[in-house]
This record gives sequence, C-alpha cells and structure tokens, in this order.
Amino acid sequence: MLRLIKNSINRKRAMEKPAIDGELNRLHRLIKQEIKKKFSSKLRLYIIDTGSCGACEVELQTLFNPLYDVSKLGIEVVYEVKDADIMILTGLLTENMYPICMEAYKILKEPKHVITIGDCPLFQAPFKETFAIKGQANVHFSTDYHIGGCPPAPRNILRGLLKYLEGLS
Amino acid sequence: MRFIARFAKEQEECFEIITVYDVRTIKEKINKLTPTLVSIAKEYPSATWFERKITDDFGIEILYSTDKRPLVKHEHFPKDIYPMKKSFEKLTMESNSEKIEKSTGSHGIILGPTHPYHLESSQFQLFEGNSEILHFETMPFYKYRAIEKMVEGMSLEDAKPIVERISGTNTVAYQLGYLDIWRQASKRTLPKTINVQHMFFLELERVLNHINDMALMCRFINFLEGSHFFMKLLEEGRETMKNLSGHRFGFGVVNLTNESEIKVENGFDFLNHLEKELIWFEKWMKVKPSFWKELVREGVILKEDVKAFGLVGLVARSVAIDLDCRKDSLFYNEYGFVSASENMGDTSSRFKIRLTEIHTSLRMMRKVLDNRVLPFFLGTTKDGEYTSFIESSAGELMMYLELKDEKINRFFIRDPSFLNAQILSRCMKNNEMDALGVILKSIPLSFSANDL
Repeated sequence: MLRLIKNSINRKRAMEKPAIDGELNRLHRLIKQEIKKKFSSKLRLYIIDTGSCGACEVELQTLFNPLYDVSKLGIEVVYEVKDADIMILTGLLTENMYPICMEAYKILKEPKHVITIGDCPLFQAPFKETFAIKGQANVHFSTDYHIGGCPPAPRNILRGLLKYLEGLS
Repeated sequence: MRFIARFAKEQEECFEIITVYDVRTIKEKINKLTPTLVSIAKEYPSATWFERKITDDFGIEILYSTDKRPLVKHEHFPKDIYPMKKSFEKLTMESNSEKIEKSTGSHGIILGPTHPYHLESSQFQLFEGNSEILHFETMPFYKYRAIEKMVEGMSLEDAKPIVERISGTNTVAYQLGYLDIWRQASKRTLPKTINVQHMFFLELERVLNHINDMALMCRFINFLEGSHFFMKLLEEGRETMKNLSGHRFGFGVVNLTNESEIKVENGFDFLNHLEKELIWFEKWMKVKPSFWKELVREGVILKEDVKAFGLVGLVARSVAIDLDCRKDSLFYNEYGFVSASENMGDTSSRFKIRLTEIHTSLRMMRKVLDNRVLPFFLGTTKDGEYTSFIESSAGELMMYLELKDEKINRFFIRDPSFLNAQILSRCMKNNEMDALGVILKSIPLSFSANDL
C-alpha cells in the first residue's frame, strides 16, 4: 500500500509541467485557434528527413516535450503521407531521398501544404554542391513556407508555424 | 586485433587500401586497371559495409565477399559511377529511371525511410513470425550527401563548418576530432585551459544525448512519466548548452580564435539540479521492478559479437569490455574519469551505463567551471596523413585526413554508428516485435554520421 502511494507521488512529480512564459502561452493559444478553424482541431504532420544532420529532427521532436507540448494543440505526427495535412521537409535533398520525396509529394492530398525547415532545404547551410545532392527543394516541387535556422529553435518553429497558419485561407 | 575501419584512396598510379586496427594500420596498393581486393569480412564481419562502400566509391571488386550489394548507391543512382575517383568531377547526375523492384516475400515488412522508430531517414527490412523478429536488416545511406567528396580540395578552415554539421547531435565530438587533426598538422600543443573547455562541452553533449536516448527508451516501453521526466531535463540541458556556448547543440563551440569563459552561474545550477533529479529517478526505479522487466534480456548483444564486429562505446562497455578513448588520457584521469561497465549486454545494461556515465560527466564538468580561455592560433600546417580518435557519446569516433599542398586530399570518418547499424541484425533476432523500438533506441545510431 505504501509502495503504491509512493509510486503515485513519484509519477505525479515526474509529470510536473514546467512553467511557460507569456509568449509561449500566446503562441499555444493562437496556434490552437488556427488549427481549430482550419484543420478541424487536428493538424497532422508528415516529417520527411531528406538529408539533414539530425538537429532539425531533434528540435521538431522537442515540440512534443512537456514545455512546448504541441500535442495538446491538436498537432500530431503521422507516418503515412496520405494521412497528412502538412508535409515538413528537413535537410539537403539527397539523390537517394529524391524519388521518395517526389512520391510523397504526389500522394500528399490537395491542397498540398509543404513547409521546409532549417537552412539545408534551401541550400543556405555551409554545405557545397555535390553529385549526391539534388539542390534546393523548392526547385523540384512547390513549397509554401520556410522556417530558417541551423537548426531553428522550437520557439522559432512555433512562430513560423503560426505565421503560416494565419496566412492560410 | 580490434578492427576499426577500412577505406580506399586514389593515388596517381594505384589505389591504396587502408585498414586500421587498434594496434596497427595496414596499407596495400592495388592496380587501377583490374582493381580487386580480398575481403577480410570472414574474420571481421563489420568490414562488410566498409568493403561494399569501397566498391561503390571506387569500383574496386571485393573477392570472397558474401555480400556484394551496393550500399551507398540506391536504386535510382546512376550505374557505373564511382564518385570518389579523382576523375569524377560532376556536380549533377541523371537519375537512373530503371527502378529495381524490392521483394520481401509474404511476411516481409519494410519500415521507412520515414517511420516512428527513428527520427532520421533510414530503412529497416524485417521478417517476423508469431510476433517475433526472425530477420532484421538495415538499409542506410538515404542521407548520403557525399561529404568526403565535398571537402576534397578545401582548406581545413573552409571545411570546418561542414564537418561541424555532419552529425548535429555529435557536433562537439566531430569538431574536436577535426581540431585534433588540425593540431597534429600544425605540430602544436593546445594549452590546458582549451582542453579543459573542450572536455566540458564534450561531456555536456554526452549528457544530453544520453538523456535523449533514455527519454525515447522510456517512451517505447510506454513509461510516459519517465519519458516526460527526461524530456524536461533535456530541454533544460539544451538551454544550458545555448547559454554557455551560444548554440543549443554546440555548433561552432570549438573556435580557437575567440576569447571565452564558462560562467559559473550559467552552468553550475543545471549540473547540480540534474544530479539531484537523477538520484531521485534512480531511487524511484529501485522500487519499480516493472520498469527493468521491460528492458532486461531485450536486444542482447553477446560479448563475442561485440569483439567480432569491433563494436565500441557503451555497447562494448555493456558487456564489460573496457573500451573508452578517455581512459588512457592523463588529462581525463586528472579530472576523475572512471569507465562505466555493465555485463548483461542487453537494453537494461545500456540504460544503466548511460546513467553512470552522466554522473561521471557531471563530476568532471563541475571541476572545470570558471575556466577562462584566450585565443590560440594553430599556424601553418604540414602536408601528411593524420588520424584522430574521440570518445563521442556513441563511442570511438575515428577521423582520417590527408593534407596535400595544404588542401584536403582525402577525408574519411568512421562513426560508431557504422558498426552499430551492422549489429542490429544480430541483436534484433528472436526478440518480440514490441521490443523493436526500445532496442533500437538503446543502441547509439546516427544516420547522418553513418551515411556521410
């Protein structure tokens, strides 16, 4: 019995939420409103790493941590592109990922929303051209919005996402 | 002998094959007209991937190999292109429109390149029967950026920002490996204050990566409180890294031209807080056997497989093989370094080692605060071949660089992931499908570092 009580206290302690500041509170509120209005309260993201160093993926994953907690805003990650509302691209567009990326873009339902994240997709990172890189992602298919940074911090991703959602009709 | 890496480079009249072991390096020359190389994979199984890459890069045929499939070149990659040859200078290619259909049989499952088991693009092919994994294979190089080719002809200075971004989560280790090569080429010795600062950031990176891995392992066994707990600490750690280095991951932290100082008030609080939280967590886990039950005997890697594959880092230490680049360093020993060790070789061992290593790192880091670093200039470099070894959070990171006319002539990296990805087929076999996620997360794996 005592062990159960102790376990319950420990679980509560582990699940304590960190304090969030005014700006983050505001971002949460506004993003949730936009998702409710434009995506019926559920925004499904398909994240495709086309050749990144991994940092952008870690920051996207960070959005689901207890501080940013985007799942409570209705945001979730899906692993089938046909289920996605927005396709998110990170990294340099490599030769080996190119056909997969193009196939995913074809399957993405209309209207096709594509956001590029980080400096790599638009070739703004320090990498140089090689035969193994297809070039800028937006040359090969239509992208709607770009959130730059190397990598963009989670808060900047949220700011960018809000701006994008606000711009959608 | 422990096998470390095998790679090729092109010289004017021949190819040179460099095979690196722990006790020696063997160089053999093969002719360019009919380039063939005898495989060593029978004795050193992890040589398979290195040899497949040599074939893809240079068109060298590997004799007596049981696996001659392309590794780097996927289905749409143009045929008959050997991009690491000096004669190949193209910056663009026509994709091969002929698509090879993959066949996996009636029970085959293909995961990826986008799937929930790993953040980075990678593909796993597996066969299962009665919810048990019968066969598992990793298909890497989706993220192949040709970094080795990219930096050829560049100066060390120009290539530095590229090397920093090979692996975002191990950027400090990569920067330090690269700096060590640069230092060797300059025939200089770094002042202690610089080494101290670099050690601090390398250990902080190790701590953050271990916390991240433990968070994901908790998630995959549905221990949401554990995942939540570690994710909170990770975010605090990233902010601490940013406050101390200017970047959440530490990009650019190895920069000898800047004067810098680790400020006590920015780092000490986090280190103390983290130590307290981990002690609390460990106390809790002592009375929560259900947690360890999920990890014990999952994803076992046998000691003989670790030796055969030359595995390094915490994977080796989880079967009591004391392999750590830091243990022979007088510098690290001065700061109280002690190797971590477990012996079960399973997921629980790899979790426990991470906890122990975080404590060790915290102890060392606390000793290095209030350290002021003045600018230091390496000066001119001497042409030659240089190798560095750094203990990243994943294990021993090996870098090789040849300088010719003060420009990079050949650059090669062996990240621990290149070995770890090959052991997955052995440690996944006969485990439940439900355990796939937690086993994968317990083994350090960076595809950006693997695919290069």
